[in-house]
Amino acid sequence: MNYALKEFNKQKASYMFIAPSFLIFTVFLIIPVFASLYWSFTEYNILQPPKFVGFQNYADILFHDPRFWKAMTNTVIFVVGTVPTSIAVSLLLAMAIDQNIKLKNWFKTFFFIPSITSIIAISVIWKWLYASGKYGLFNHFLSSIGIPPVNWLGIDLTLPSIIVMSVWGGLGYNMILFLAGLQGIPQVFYEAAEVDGASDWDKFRNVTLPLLRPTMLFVTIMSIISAFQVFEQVYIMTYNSEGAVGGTLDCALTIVAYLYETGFQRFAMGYASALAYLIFFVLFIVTIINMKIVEKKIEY
Amino acid sequence: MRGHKTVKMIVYVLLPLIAIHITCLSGCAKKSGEKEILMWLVGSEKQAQKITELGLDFYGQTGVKVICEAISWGEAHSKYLTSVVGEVTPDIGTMGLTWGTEFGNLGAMVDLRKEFPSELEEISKNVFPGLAESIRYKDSVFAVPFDMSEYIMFYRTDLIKSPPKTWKELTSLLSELNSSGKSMIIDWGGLGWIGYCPYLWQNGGDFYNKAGTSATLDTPEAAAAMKFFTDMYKKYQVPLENKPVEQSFRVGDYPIFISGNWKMKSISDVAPDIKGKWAIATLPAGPTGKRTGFIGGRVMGIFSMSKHKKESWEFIKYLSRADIQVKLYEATLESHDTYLPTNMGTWDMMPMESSFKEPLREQAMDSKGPPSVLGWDDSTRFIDTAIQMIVLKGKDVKSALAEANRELNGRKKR
Repeated sequence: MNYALKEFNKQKASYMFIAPSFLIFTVFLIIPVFASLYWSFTEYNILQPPKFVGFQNYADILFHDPRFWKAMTNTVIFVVGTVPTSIAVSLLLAMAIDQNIKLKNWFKTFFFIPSITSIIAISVIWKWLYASGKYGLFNHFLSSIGIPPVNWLGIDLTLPSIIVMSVWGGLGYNMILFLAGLQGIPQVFYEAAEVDGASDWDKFRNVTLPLLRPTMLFVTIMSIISAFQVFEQVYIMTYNSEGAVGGTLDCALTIVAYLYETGFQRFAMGYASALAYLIFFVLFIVTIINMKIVEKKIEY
Repeated sequence: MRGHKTVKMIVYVLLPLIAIHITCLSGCAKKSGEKEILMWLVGSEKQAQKITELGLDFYGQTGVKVICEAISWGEAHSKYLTSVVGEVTPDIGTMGLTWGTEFGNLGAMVDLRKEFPSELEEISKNVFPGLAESIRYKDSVFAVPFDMSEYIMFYRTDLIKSPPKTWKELTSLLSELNSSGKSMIIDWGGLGWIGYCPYLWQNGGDFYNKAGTSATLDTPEAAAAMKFFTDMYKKYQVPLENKPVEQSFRVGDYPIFISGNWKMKSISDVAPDIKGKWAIATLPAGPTGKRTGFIGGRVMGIFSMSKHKKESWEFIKYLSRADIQVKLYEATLESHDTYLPTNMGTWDMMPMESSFKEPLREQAMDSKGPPSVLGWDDSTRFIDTAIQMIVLKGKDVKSALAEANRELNGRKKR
C-alpha cells in the first residue's frame, strides 16, 4: 500500500494529465457501456424504472423478430458490397498515384474530397442524383442515351444504390492509408525483384501485397466495422415523413438503423441495448476472424 | 514588468466575471412574487418569438410572465421524455397530436378534463370537430389543439376542367390522364396509413370500433377502401416512388396531387410561374357521400410537474382565443411556417383568399385525426406493411388486412 502510494506520488504529474480525459472516458463511455449491458436484460422505456427480464430480449430478437434478421441480412449485404470493392478500388488508385504521375497531389486531393465532406451532405446530394423519373441527374443521363429511367430508390435498388454511394464516399480515406503503406515499402525490394526478372504482376503479388499486410489489416478491420455500423446514408435516403427509417418494406433497413428506431423512436431501451450487444458480439467475432486470417503469416 | 503583466491578466479575467455579475444582478433576479411560465414550442424560432411577444400582452393582463423556447421536431420527443425523467419539464409543451395521450397516460401531463372541465368544454366547442375528437383519450384530455395541418387536393385549373367530386370521377379523371402519360401524386402519407385513412373513412370504415377496444380492419368497408386506394397505384399509375411534387406539378406531368395544406406555400415559392393556374379542392367523396380527410397538427398541454398549472392554463386559453390565433396566423405569413388556426371562429377573421380559405375550411369540417389509442404510433407500420405488400408484392387485400388487424389487436392497450 505504502509502496503503491509512493509510486503514485512519483508519477503524480502524469496521473493528473491523464485524469481529465480518463474522467470523460469513464462518464461517457465506460459507465454507459456497463449500464446498457444491464439494460439489455431489462424492459426499460426511460420513464418507468427498468424491469429485469433475464434473457428475454435476446431470445425475442433471435427467435421472434423477422425485422432483426432482415436488418442483419441487409447489413451483411452492405458490408460484402462495400468493403472488398472499396479496398480493391482504393488500392488501385493508391498504386496509380504512387507511380509519380503528373498532378499527383491534385489527384490525391480530388479523391480525398468526399472523405472530408459530411456523409449527410453526400447523401442529400446523391438522393437528388438518384431521384426517380426524369428528375434525377443519373436518369437524365440514361434517358439522353436512350435508356428508360431507373427507379434507383425503389424497393429493389435502394440498398445497392446506397452501396455505390458509400464506396464512392469512402474511397479517398482508404486510398490515403494505402498510399502511406506503399510509401513505406523500401524501393530495394522492387529492385531485387526486377533483378530476378519479376513481372509487374509478380512484384504486386510477392512484394507489394505481403508488405502491405499491416495496412491491409487495419483498413479491412476499420472498413468492416464502419460498414457494419452504416446509418447516416440509410437514414437520409430512406426516412419518411413519419420518421420511419429503412425504406419501403424495410428494403434498406440496416442493423444500426433498426437499433435507432427501437431505442430512440420506440424507446424500447432494453430491447435496443440487447440489439447493441448483439452487434458488438458479431463485430467482435468478425474482427477476430479477420486478424487470424491476415496475421497468419510472419511479419516482415 | 512581470508584476504589471500579472495584474493585467487578473484584470482581464475578472472584468468579464464582474460584468456578468452586474448584468445578472439587474436582469436575472426575478421580482419577488412574480410568476413565470416556460413554454416549449416544437417548431420555428420565429414562431416562438411571436408567442413570447404575445406573452408580453398576456403579462400586461395577468402579471404572469411567459417565455417561449423553440425546440426542433427531430429531438422533441426525446427532449420531452428526458425532461420528464429529469423532472425539468417546462410548464406548457406543444407537441405532436398523439404525444399528449402518450405522456398523459404515463402521468406526465395534467388531465385538463378533470382540472378545468367547463373551460375545456368551451375550447373544444370552438375547435374543428375532428381535432376535438382526436385529443380525447377515454375520459381524459391531456392537451388541446395548437394548430393543424390538413389533407387537401391540389389541381391545375388550366389542365383539369373541374376537380373530381366523387371516387368515380377521380378514377375516370385518372384514366383520362393515364392516356396521355400523366397521373396523380399521393404525397402526404403515400403508400402508408395516412394516405389510406381518407378512403377508409369515406367508405364508412375506421381503424377501431367506437370504444377503441378492437381493430376493425377486417371489415368489408376497410377492404373495399383498401382496394380503391391500392388500385390507384396498381391501375392508375400513381407513382410508387417519391417525386418532386412542386416540380412535376409545375411542368404538368402530375397536374393533380393530394397532400398537406403546407404545399400551398411551397408551390407559391418554388413555382411562381404557375400562379393563378392552380387551385385547391376538397377530397372526392366516397360511397357514403363523405369527403373525410386526415387532420394532424400540434397540441399543447400542461406538465404535471408545473408549479403554475392555473397560470399555464390561462395562457393556453389565451392562445386558443380567435383574436390571438389571428395574430399568430398573420405572423406566420411573414416567417416560413405554415400555421392553420384550430379555432373555427378564427377563420372568419383571418386574411386569406376565399378561393383557398373555403375549401380548407370545408375540408377541415369533415376531417379526422389519428385514432386516440395508446401505442398508435407503434401500430401504424403494420398498416403501412399491409399497403406495401398489396401494391408491391401483389398480396391480396383481405389477407393483408387480416394480418394488420391481428397485429393491431395484439398491440393496443386501451
